[in-house]
Amino acid sequence: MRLILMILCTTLAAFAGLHADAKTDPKDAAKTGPAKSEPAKTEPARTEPAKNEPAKTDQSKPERTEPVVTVALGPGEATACLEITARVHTSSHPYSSPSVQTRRVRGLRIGRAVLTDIDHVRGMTSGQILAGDTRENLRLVYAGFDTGLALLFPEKDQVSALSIENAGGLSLDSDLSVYSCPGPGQESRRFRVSRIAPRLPENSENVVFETAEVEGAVPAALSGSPVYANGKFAGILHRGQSVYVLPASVVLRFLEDVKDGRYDGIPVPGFLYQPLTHPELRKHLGIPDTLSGVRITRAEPGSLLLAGDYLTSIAGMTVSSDGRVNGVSIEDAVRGRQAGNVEALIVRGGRTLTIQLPLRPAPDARARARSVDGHRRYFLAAGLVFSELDLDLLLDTDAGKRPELVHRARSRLLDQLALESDRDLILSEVLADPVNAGADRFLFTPVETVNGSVVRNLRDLRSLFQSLSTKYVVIRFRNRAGAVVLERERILEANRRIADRYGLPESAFEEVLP
Amino acid sequence: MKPCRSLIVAAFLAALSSLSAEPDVRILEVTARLADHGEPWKVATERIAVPAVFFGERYAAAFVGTGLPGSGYLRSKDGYSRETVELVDIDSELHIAVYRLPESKSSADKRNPVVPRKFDSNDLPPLKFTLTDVPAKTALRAVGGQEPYTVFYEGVDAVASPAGNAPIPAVRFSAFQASVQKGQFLILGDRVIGIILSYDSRAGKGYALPASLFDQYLSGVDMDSPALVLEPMGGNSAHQSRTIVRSSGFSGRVAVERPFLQYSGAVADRAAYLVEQTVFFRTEERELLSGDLILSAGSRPIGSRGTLPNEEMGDLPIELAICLEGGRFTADDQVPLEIVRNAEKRRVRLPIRSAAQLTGVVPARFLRPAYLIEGGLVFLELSLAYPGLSSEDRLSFVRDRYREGDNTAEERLVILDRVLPIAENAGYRPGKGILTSVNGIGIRSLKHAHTIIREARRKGEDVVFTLDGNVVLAFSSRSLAQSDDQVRKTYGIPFLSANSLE
Repeated sequence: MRLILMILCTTLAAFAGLHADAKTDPKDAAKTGPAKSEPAKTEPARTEPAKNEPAKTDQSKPERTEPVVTVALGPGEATACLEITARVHTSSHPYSSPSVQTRRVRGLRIGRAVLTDIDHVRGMTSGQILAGDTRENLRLVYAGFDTGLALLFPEKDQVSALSIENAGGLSLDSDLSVYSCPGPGQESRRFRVSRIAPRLPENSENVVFETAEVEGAVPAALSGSPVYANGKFAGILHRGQSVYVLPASVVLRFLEDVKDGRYDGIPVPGFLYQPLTHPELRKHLGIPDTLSGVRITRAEPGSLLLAGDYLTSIAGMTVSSDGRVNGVSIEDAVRGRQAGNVEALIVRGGRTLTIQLPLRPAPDARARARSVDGHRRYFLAAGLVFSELDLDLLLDTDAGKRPELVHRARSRLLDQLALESDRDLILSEVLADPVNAGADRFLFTPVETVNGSVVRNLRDLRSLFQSLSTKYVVIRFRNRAGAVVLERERILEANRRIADRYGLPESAFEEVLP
Repeated sequence: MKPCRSLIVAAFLAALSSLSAEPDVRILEVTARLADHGEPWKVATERIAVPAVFFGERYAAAFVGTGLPGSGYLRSKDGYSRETVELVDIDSELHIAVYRLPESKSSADKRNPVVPRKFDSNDLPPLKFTLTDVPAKTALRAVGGQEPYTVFYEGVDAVASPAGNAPIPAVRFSAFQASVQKGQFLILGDRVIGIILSYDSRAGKGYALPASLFDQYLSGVDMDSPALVLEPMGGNSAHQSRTIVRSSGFSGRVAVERPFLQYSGAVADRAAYLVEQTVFFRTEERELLSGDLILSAGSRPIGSRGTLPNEEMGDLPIELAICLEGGRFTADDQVPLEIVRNAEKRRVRLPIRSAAQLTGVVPARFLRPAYLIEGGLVFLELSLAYPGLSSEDRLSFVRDRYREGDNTAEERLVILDRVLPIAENAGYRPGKGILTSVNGIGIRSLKHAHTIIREARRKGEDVVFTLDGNVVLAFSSRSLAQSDDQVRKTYGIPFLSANSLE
């Protein structure tokens, strides 16, 4: 396992070298490139309060401040004890009023800011850091949807860039320590690492991290605590369905990402490729021996890359024919960078071209992570509840038991599903009423058209419902015969009846849109 | 002297009207080969004990489950002696087999057989065909293999055939038993009413093959035919289609939602049957498409639950009812249907076909699935028997899309299931994918791919596979030849393609 860590360190070092070679800070490039000009795709994750909900978190772009606050985290000094109040919505009944919960959780104090597990701030309406008898209000500023980390600042403080000085790694031999809140009688607990393995965080299916699993029972109250190994900060403890330590390298990367005042996320290649090591494949494709690189087989719609291109170099580094860059896979190489444009060399039709390749999270990256505000986006009409197919829906409802839905949610690039919809809409619930008789047969099926018009997203669905003047509203579903047919004139009356019968608040019919 | 078929059938039919004693049910021990659908070149062999009903002096019929049965033994009741039985025939859809004891050659043998035989043609139990006159909760006796016990008749349902690709009528029963053995015979009075196919101990509910289908199958068996030796590689293709089960090739549900019926052009106050799925290549014939609404079959309107009445079985779902005459499957036929398509009423004639031919599933499910290994790449056809079809995310997605396609009867999806690593394919690790073309020719089936590859290799040409997602894999014919040897040597796979591809 030390070997793995050494390789990781080597990789990080390689990228440090890469930055120097490129003579351009890729982060800066990111902020001036096209990714920046498309805020809808690259906006940082922020909480989005429900209507009528006081915004407790800063919705505007945080002001960037200099210089960077660098903090050395001594064992036991940096544990933060927090009290978070949150509204909890259920994925299966998104229209219902949320319950309010107050949680006592932990975090990592970095200067005046607090870093914690993103699970703790889901649906957060207010938060306080507790220090002895004093409390200070916090606001959620950055939500690392793909890392599972969240960064909070005191309400009155300016947002500052942060860095940690004494971070270390983890190995199977590591003795891990977790401390209770600072003060008299502070206690510590020790754990041993049982396994170090790559895994997806529980709250995101975007990027795999090398995490450390720990031996023994871990109380839920410790989740979010900083973990120390050999006197150095080693990561953040996550305790959900499973228990693991998100390593310090992920924390450092997250802090690096938000230094410019927003969270971009971890980039992914945005293309699929095949290696070109097989001599007979090279011969068949007419690839000269001198060409090193991979063959692009799929690219995101709108990408500058096309299927059949050969990618030979990325950010000034040669791509080997087995799909490696500086000894690591293309995926790992891309993930190791900050979002932004990089120069790539491709061979197309025998000509070598230089392109600016945008590196950014996948277009559906946010749908592949638990929502931070805890809200479901839905549309409710005539007792039919339509929800976006995202990780919340997969994990919290029967949608996750439908293999074809799981594929539609997780593998959009291979089958080019972005050409079909921005995000699939699922009939997630039917509030039974004579107006929608028979509709339950289409539960957990993606909507395809309404009155013949293709539905690409929730907005489409709403506007189609609102603009129809035909006698019938005909909703068809993907790969399913038949349709849900509603008599348009009966929908309003049915809404009233359904609200009465199910005790729905008025706001239930105010569709929540992204 | 061997009895001729007509004599057997005559004896069989005579037995139907006779009042005889308890049916002679004994246990056969037979070998069964179980195909591994994930690695179809492998076969597990096991010995299974099956209850069999004896008739005609030396014949026995039994439900043999999902293994490919071979020869076996009839054990004497004291267990000390046994006599060989040979396989005469098998229905690859219903998994019912007929076995034969050797004919006694000498009078001494007849007087003193290895295993005492007390059965003759008169021992064949009468069969109970009409079920509409059997009240629910009627007590039935289950016999074969253990002490007889009581179960209760509940009615008739449509269930998936043992091969899994077509509905058949089945006797529904309830029981209090913790274990109910498949293949046991259900007896009402002195008549066999069914053979147990399945039992859910938690629900206390099971299904049995009705006697009418058992009778229909037995009536068609040539008892004089040579013993059946099913090739280990799943050959004997002529036999694979041997089944009595017929299928209409569609499934769906009754539609009663008034707005939907009005919008679709059907009569709002009359039930219609919405065709939700047709078998993969039913669309070729165009008689029936998914989305059609069936209003009537023959002159009979669809019942409010999407059923049609059957004189021996009661109400059955339309997709099954139109395949039956009484309790038996019809011969290949066409059924006139009144349908609504795109808001227009029309009349079509729907062919009723052998379920095995219509779905192409039986050979894959019951015998050995077709497979092809080239360059260490393992190709399989997507069928209901494909492992992981319902649990693998992308395959479910692909299958749903394929269903919507305009496919002909010969068209199947070919999957690159895995790559067996050898030197010749080093660098090719594409994961699962759909084979779309070989040497630029669009692939219609595994057999089609096999033919193209064989021809290219014969000519010494390169073979280029293209998978969906634009993945290309190229081999020279020389390296394919080398890889054949490597796969045989490294993985111990003797045959690199299923016989059925020849």
